[in-house]
Amino acid sequence: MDRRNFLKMMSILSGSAAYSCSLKQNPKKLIPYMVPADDGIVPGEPQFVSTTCIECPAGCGLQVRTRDGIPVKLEGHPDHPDNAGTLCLRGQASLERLYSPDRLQSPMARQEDGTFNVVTWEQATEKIEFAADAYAGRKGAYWSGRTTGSLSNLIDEYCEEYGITRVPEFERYGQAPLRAAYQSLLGRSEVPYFDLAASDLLLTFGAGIIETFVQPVRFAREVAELLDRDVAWHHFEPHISITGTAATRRHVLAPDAPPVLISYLLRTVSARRPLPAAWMALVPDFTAKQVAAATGIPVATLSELVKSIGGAKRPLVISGDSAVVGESGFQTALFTAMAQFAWGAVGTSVDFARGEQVSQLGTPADALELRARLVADEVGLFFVSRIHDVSYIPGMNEAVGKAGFTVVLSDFMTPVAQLADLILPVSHSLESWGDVAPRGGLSGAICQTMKPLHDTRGEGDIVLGLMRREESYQEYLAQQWEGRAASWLETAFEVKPVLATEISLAGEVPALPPITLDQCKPDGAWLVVAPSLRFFDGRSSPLKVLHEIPEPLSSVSYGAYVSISEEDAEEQGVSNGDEVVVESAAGPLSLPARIQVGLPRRRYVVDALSAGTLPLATVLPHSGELLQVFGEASLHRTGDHIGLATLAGSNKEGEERGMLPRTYHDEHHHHEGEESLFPDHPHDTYRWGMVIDLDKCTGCSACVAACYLENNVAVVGPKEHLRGREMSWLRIEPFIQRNGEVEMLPIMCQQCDHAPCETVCPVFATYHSPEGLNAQVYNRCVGTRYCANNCPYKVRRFNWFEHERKEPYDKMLNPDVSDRPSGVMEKCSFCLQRIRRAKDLAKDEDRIVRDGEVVPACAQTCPSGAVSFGNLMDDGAKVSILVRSSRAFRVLEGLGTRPAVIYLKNRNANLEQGAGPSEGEPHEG
Amino acid sequence: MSLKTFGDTIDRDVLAAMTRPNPRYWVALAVSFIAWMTGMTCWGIQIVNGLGEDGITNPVGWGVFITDFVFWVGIAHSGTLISAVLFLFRAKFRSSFNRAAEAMTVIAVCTAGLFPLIHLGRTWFFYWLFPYPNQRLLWVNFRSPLIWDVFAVSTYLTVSAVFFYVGLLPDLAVVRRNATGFRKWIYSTLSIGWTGTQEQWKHYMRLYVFLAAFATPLVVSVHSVVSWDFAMSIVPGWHTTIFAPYFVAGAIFSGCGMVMTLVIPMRKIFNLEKYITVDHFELLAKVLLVTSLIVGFAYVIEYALAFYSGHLFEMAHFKYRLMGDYKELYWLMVLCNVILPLTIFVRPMRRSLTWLFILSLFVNVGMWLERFIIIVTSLAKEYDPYGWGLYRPTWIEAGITLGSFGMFFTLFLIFAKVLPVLSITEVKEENA
Repeated sequence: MDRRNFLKMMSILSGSAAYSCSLKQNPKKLIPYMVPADDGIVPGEPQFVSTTCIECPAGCGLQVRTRDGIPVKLEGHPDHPDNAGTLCLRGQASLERLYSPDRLQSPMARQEDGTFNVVTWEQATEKIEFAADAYAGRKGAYWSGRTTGSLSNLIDEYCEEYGITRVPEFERYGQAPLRAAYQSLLGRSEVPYFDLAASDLLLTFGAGIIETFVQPVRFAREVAELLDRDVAWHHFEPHISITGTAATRRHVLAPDAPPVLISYLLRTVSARRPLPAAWMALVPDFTAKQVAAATGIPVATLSELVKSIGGAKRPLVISGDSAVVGESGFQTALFTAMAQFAWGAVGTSVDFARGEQVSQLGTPADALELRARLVADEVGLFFVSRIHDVSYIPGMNEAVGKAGFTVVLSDFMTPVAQLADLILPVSHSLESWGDVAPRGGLSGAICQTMKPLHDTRGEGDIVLGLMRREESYQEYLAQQWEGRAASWLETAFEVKPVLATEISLAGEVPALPPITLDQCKPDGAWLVVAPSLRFFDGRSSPLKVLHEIPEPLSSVSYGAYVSISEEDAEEQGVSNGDEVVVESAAGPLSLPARIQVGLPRRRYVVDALSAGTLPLATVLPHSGELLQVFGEASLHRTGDHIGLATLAGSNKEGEERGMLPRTYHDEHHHHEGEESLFPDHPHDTYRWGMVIDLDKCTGCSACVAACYLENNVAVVGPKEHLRGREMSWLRIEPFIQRNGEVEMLPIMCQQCDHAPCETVCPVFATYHSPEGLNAQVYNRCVGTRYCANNCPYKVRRFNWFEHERKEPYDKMLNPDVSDRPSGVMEKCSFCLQRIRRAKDLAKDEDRIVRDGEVVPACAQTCPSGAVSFGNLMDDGAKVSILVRSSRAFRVLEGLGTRPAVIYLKNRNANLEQGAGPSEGEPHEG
Repeated sequence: MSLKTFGDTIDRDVLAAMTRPNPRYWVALAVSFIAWMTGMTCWGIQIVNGLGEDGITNPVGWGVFITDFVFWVGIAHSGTLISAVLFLFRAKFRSSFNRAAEAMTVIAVCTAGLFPLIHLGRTWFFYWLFPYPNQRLLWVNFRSPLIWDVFAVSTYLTVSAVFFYVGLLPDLAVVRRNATGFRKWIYSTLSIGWTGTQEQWKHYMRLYVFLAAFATPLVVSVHSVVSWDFAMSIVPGWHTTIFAPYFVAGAIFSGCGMVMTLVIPMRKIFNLEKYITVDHFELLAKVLLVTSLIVGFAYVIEYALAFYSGHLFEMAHFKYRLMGDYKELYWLMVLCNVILPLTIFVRPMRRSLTWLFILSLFVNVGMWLERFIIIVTSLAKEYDPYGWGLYRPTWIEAGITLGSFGMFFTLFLIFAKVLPVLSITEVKEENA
């Protein structure tokens, strides 16, 4: 090679080498951050947007944590008068509604072959206009779920302008019997504001006040305050629910018995505001013995009740759910209203001025009227909005199909959406503007947090589009919001003082069939269709994370099931997951059975989602409510077995093994720690600890949902759940005694000081941090699972597979918490990311973290305020004070693990009430 | 003269086993190899998809894999016991088994050593279990019994392999003498210049005694350490002080069982009846009986300890083991490990090779079940009733277990063809 060729070769080689080394793809520019962006977004810094939760009609205030403009977590607005910073599990999970890959992403029109085809919004609007012309002879109808605030006005405007009937709104749990009763008695078809805080005795009949009833989050919060004040709370229910188990006293009462009991109380307790004789004539006069025989509540308890109501300054009685959806449900509601009046609650703790905004709300009877109109081909253009499923109303699906042109506004492919001719996808509340007025004196703003992820629109924009108006709904709202307080968009809620309304017996005495005692049997067989804690009326069922969280009492996660009692299971030879058929007036219902310890005999309970299409054909007179409890039900086994994802290995503590301390353990020193041979870990500034008050914990599982969302806990699906591989870092363990006494035990990593997991890890993937945290280093973990084996609390979760997170589900991931790969162990970290953040802030200000500055996701959302978190090294911290309580104990203390999670429980509470079947028995050996 | 003749006979008989294999051997090898590869395929699937392919779940984090691990470590025990301990005690009958037993040890330890790797969530990081210097100054946790395991098993593998090889040296020289071509080169290399001089024998015997003395405590320590994987935990059913002796006895028991399973057919196939006699098997059966009695005693003692402890969870656990979800397996284990071996008390039965072979299979099954019961029942129902759960192995786990047997038999079959299955020099010496 000569010199020239050599130079040529060298230049080619060096040139191509230089070229191949250069960044061809994705050249990333490092843009220095000097001036904050206009929208205030600081990369890596969380931002908070206030808005309102619309997962159910309660209208709790929200604070959305966003990162780089993307919502990553929902939390209650701390100043909101109703939820005060907390949320229920559905509220927590509501974020998934935004990111779910199953969401409807663009308008879809039904084609001739029955399938749906994607169309543009313009095409959709044209189709609607075309249909409006084509069915000009028939009247249009707009049927929606409960709507309040400006949206309701806008829909009214639209309906008026286009000659469409706005049919009464439909809510499956719209408290129709209550409204009917107040209408009868007081001439007000309303659902009042039940002020638990203002009462000193609480009696609830059927109403699942901490589950789904009206304002469950506020009730849960207020109930915890009642317990703080040692206020007695009696709950009467035909089955077993977490409301019942949270009450100070739970009484089993068949669904037809409440009117008997309330009428007895009405007759016996001296009234502060006596009712006129015409009203009292409705109330039958039974003797205590008769009542005891009919209700199964002993005479002694009856007189105790009478005494305590008489002695209370402001007793509050509430009826709802199972107590008002039976044949005599209206009487229950009416007698309850009368009792509220007579005992002085109306106007004080039963406040109509702050009552629910239900002026447009109809009843199921109205739905049947609509059905008749639909069947008679009277409806042309038919809008259905925010109603997800009506298949349990017989003939309703077919009727919807008979409308000229059905337009469904929905965010998911719900059963109703499947009936549509045109589906308009609705934006999530975080993607749209709006406002609500859930109750008197309170309004809430829905503030847009992010641009819509898909080609969706808010309902307001859709309606404006249909009206061919140029303005956006945001502009429309701006006019509506004129004169609002300056903080309106900052806090997203506004409380206005309400004028006390004059309440009088303005109603008319209804003609009611007399209450007889003949049919009342305390041990009658009943099928109870109850609202679902996790899915409400079923609307929250598209949220997968809610399926992942087990129903707290049955601990069933995925799938429909019917709860049956232990006695029934024994009689019929049914074991968990065996298919059974419940025969009742509603027809046969075949589902896998879950044996529910503590459920009274011959009570078969299904939630709204499990009941599915079980026809609820009877509309009750007076209230217009659907009959949802069915007497003379019977049960038989089909012989098939359907796997049921039951997460609890056992609901019974069994064999006196004792997770929770009881007096009989004391003599065996079962729960006493022993002196350790090893020195304690040194902690200098921080030793993080958590205190959970079991006397307050209701098992509502809000904390579980919060934990899932905060910590990117994987949703693994039913197949894995059937194999017992749930990933929850925090779980609610229900320990149920045979007499129905239930103890809810939230269990997460106990962050033991002498952690059994730490010593056995061969690679130091889990170790003790100087702050007393049991740290888990995902990157170091090789996956021996030895730590999980050696953990007595069984809180460690192994990643059996790589978790797939479909677009845009991946956006929901909290960027502060790393995603865990297949083959590593994970567990509760005490929300380490929040501790870090608080410490960083404190460091900037050159101080140590203040008490209450670190709030883990579970503690943050707990409506009962049962969870406290803080620094145990700080003697003045709330946790340090609580730890010194005589109620304090640690789970499995005898193992000497010295957890940093301390529980509070009144050990003798259930003794006084003649508790567990195993009580007092000597343990074996 | 007769001595020379006998020596020749031994040479001929033992070396005959190393000639071109017959079709039956090939079939056996093929079956074993296919089984091994099936296991490797299953492992591949498990690595690609995740450990979720197995039946292990919450709360049973260890299942068939750790059972297999303990089983194979157990099997590995008799090799050293028969070789080293019996050598130190000058028990002459050892010479008929020791080579096969030592080979079994080395192969079984290799097989066992795979399982801690297989059961890792992230197998590809297995080397993190070794204390190696690194720039991040990350070390292993010396408090973890799993790390002790790593040391114990690797030490045992090293010592067993050295002991096996040293024992082979004179025999390799014998093989070298008759080998030709490439084989000659290999055996020459392996026999590292062994000529059988007085001087060599003198040093050799010293080394061999030293190695035997060194290996003997390992028999006790290795399986003690393996048992501490369990005993050092706080799991009811695991956390008990009798585990070390109990596991060692169990290991010797299962190892003797496996020696029988291997040697009885081998003796037949290779026509070694002359050297491995029924008397030898009778003596081995007696060892089996003694260890079976120890194991049976340990089963009873476990219950006694649980009862004596007064610990609610311990008592509940042992009740569960006896009458719970896995009770069939438990009672099958008792049958295999405690009841059937009692037949060894009957002289005709302990001299019947057919029965001993069948019995040895039962012992293998029983000892595998023992480990399964200890691991699975203890984890299935631990402290927290909510956290209880059952375990059912999947076909992946079954496949990998099958694969481990495949690997073991493949390697053993290869051993039987390429190395002398009897200690030629020792048999000569014994018959001298």
